[in-house]
Amino acid sequence: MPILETKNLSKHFGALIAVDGVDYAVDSGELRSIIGPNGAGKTTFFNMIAGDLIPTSGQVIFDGADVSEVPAHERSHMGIGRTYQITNIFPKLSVLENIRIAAQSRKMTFNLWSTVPSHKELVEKSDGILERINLTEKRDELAGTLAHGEQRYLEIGIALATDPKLLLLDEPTAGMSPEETIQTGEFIKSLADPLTIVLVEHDMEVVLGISDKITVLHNGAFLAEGTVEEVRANAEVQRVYLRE
Amino acid sequence: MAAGGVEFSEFVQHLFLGLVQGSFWVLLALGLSIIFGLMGIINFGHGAFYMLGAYVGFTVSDLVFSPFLGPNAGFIVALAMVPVVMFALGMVFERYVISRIYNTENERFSGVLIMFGMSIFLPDFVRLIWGRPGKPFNIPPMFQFSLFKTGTLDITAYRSFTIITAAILVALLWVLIYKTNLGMMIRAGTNNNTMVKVLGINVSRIWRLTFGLGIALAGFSGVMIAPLFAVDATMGELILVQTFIVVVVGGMGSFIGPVIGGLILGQLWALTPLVGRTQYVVQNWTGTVIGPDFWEKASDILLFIVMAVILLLRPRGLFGQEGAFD
Amino acid sequence: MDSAAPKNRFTPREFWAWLSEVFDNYGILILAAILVIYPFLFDALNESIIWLEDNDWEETAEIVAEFRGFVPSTPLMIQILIYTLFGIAFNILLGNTGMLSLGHCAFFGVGGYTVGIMHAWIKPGTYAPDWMVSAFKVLPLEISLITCVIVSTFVAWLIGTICSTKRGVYFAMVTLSISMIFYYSAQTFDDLTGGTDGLGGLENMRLGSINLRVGIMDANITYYFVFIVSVVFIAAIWQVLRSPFGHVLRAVRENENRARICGYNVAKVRLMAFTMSGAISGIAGALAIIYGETVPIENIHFITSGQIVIITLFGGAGTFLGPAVGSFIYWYLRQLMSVEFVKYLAIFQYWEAWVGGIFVLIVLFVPSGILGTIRNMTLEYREKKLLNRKAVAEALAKNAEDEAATEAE
Repeated sequence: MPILETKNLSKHFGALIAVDGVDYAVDSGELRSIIGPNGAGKTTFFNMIAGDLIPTSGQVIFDGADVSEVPAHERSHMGIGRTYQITNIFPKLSVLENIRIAAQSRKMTFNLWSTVPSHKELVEKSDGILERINLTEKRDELAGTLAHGEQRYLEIGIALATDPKLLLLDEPTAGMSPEETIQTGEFIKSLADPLTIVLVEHDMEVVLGISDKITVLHNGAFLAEGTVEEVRANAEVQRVYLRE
Repeated sequence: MAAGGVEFSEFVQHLFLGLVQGSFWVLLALGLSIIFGLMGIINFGHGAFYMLGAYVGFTVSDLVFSPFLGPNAGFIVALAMVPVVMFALGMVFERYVISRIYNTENERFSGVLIMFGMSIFLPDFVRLIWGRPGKPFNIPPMFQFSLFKTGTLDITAYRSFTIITAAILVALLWVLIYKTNLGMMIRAGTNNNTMVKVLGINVSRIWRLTFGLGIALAGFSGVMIAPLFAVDATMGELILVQTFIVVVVGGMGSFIGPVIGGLILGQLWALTPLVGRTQYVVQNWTGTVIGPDFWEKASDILLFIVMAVILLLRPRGLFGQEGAFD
Repeated sequence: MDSAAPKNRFTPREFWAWLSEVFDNYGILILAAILVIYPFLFDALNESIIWLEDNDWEETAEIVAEFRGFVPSTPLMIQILIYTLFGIAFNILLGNTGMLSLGHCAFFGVGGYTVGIMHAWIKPGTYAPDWMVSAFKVLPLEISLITCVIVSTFVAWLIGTICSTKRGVYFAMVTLSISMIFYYSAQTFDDLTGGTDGLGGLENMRLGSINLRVGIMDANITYYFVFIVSVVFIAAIWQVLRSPFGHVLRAVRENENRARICGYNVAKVRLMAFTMSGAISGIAGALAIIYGETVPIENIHFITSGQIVIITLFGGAGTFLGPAVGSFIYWYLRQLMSVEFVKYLAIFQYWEAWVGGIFVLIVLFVPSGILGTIRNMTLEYREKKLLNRKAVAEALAKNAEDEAATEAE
């Protein structure tokens, strides 16, 4: 059974049709990519899955439940984690706090009487994630002062700290140097299975290197889907990309 | 509504008074929305500048020009000069105070706080300059007659004049906002601030003009309302809050919102006192009849209740755009 | 190596930084000690004047009396304590959650009116039902205080719910508008609230069997009552801000969208913070009427909201004790202006103009407030110390390397 499914999903902004009737399904443990030219509606599609936007029509089905109108914070608790195209972290909190606040959301919100350091399991979990994203040394620095690439990793760390089943990564390598990009690709591959990952990416090498399956969106609509070779061979896709 | 102990002429009289009050709210609310739409600053000093406009008008009319030109001409000069003076004042204020906070951390809060500071500063400053007691401001002699009078109905010339002036101003504002380049930019700013920047328009000059325009509108309303009510240092307080209510109810970010909101609330405000004199008897929880005294005073409170209900049921206001300013 | 060594002389900037470090560590203890004995210090000053006069030291007595004009009196300290509590409660929102509420006068006023109205009207021959009157000959303050907590919590929850769809400056506007409903209600229902004259006649406030206000001049009992209540609630706020919930508040302040995607129900968090802040502001409002024995209608006017924003910003919205500093300076200056300075210059009687003007200047030039600025200096100073230490260590290491190199040669 697919962990994520969209049925005829559409989003209109006034006269503009950003996403137009997309049917999509992801199986548990897969690493999938979505590509497409600028303005293809990839980010809007993500926003509807994560709950930042409510679809105009159609359904988002996650883990067997219709979540189309469920608020974003509840979807997070159901197991959808995401990162943004423009880095979205808590810039004035320390790196450790960034991770810890995300981890804490699984345990408590309205806890007024204890202190944060007294919750050992939170600290341990955060330290574990910091190690995975390779930021242990910078745990006490303000997140806003990190280098761009480190901030991208931190954002993935924040998403991981919420124990997601499905991780949506919106251009994780945006603004990275070529070496960083390759590293990040490998890092993402290491996260997959049991985690399900859907990736929007511009960097073709990363996409071609790590994805199980690629989906192409064009002008908000579904264009093609398949393995790396199938998509490469697809005439439609070639036409769209060549014309650009 | 016009049943029981309320005569029809009295009902019409209240409609008329509501229209007068409503048109002032419309003018102030439009000034507020224009400044907010472009600069993202809610002008908490709007009432204070309105009050300042009345005082400037008093000085221009009663102290400077009336002795030479007579009260009629003095008042007309005041009507013409106050917007100019306030426009200049607003531009200067924007240039030397507000522009300092652009592109700083917490830009929007700072703007609001500065204007809030002005709303505390100006009334006392006015007391310092003009003295603590309020100023008398008479209806100029040429307006001291009634257009129509029967029984309790009295359509006075000056009130009619304010309604007509307000209507003309609203029409001019509509032309400005929908038919001119400046207006296009104001609307562009309303929808997307960065777009204006991308287009390479000199944003700071437009902001200065807009701020001056909003302040000029406030000052003009102040001098126009002065003959109807006492000129007093606290006259801007209640009307500031009422303007906020109009904007919340009408919806920010639209032109029609404040206009319709102001007119509806003006009628509501003016007609509430009549409720106590209708045949319908309202009792409180102990069974005592709520008398006309209560309804006379209930107008102001009713507006707040309307706002609370609107906020709960339709947060963006009657004509507001979805998600524009929440 | 010499060039890299830290200089031992302090610049004035560094001196202030050092002072604030001491204040950071022991400040609360020093402050608390002074506050505990404050009424006795002030009484001692008064008595010393009498003693000097009795012993024919008239001139010295005059000088000391002149000096007393510049020492905050015990009633002024009561006011300062109350506004400290109010400011710290307000700062739950402004400094920690990033919400600018201009409607806090509603809670402050409602708190005061609740206690005031209960005290003034639960008496024979008034609106109160007979059973209530016979139950409380004189209504004890603990009952009205508890009622006040319930009422102000409810009011805060209600206003919070109404305004919860709004953000940023729009939230400020809506809270201000909603709060003014209470002002105009107090004006309208003047037979209950005293209208614009304020609600007077609140003598004989008792806590259990203790009369909180003995005689006209004696403020000490009121002082200690206010002190204890304030300290308890300030400590409670301190705990809340360091709890996991406090961290969520700061996360919401920093990045609301990220907090939501992390799984926090942001609307609920904001409402909770608002309710808490409002409820404690209500208690501050109740304390504020005890010494004056009246509820002035200004308490519920938006000038009061303005005052608390000024106090918080002036002290430093990003710091915990900022409102305490702000409150002290605000009330001390205001007292000096309206009592001492005004003797020399009439312009000082227009204190609202001063307050408004200074407020604008603070927003423009000291946006992080006094404590905030000092804290930034401290951080800078610490960083400098750290850099110096690093430089020394590097220089030492380099020296050692050089020596090893020469030896090898």
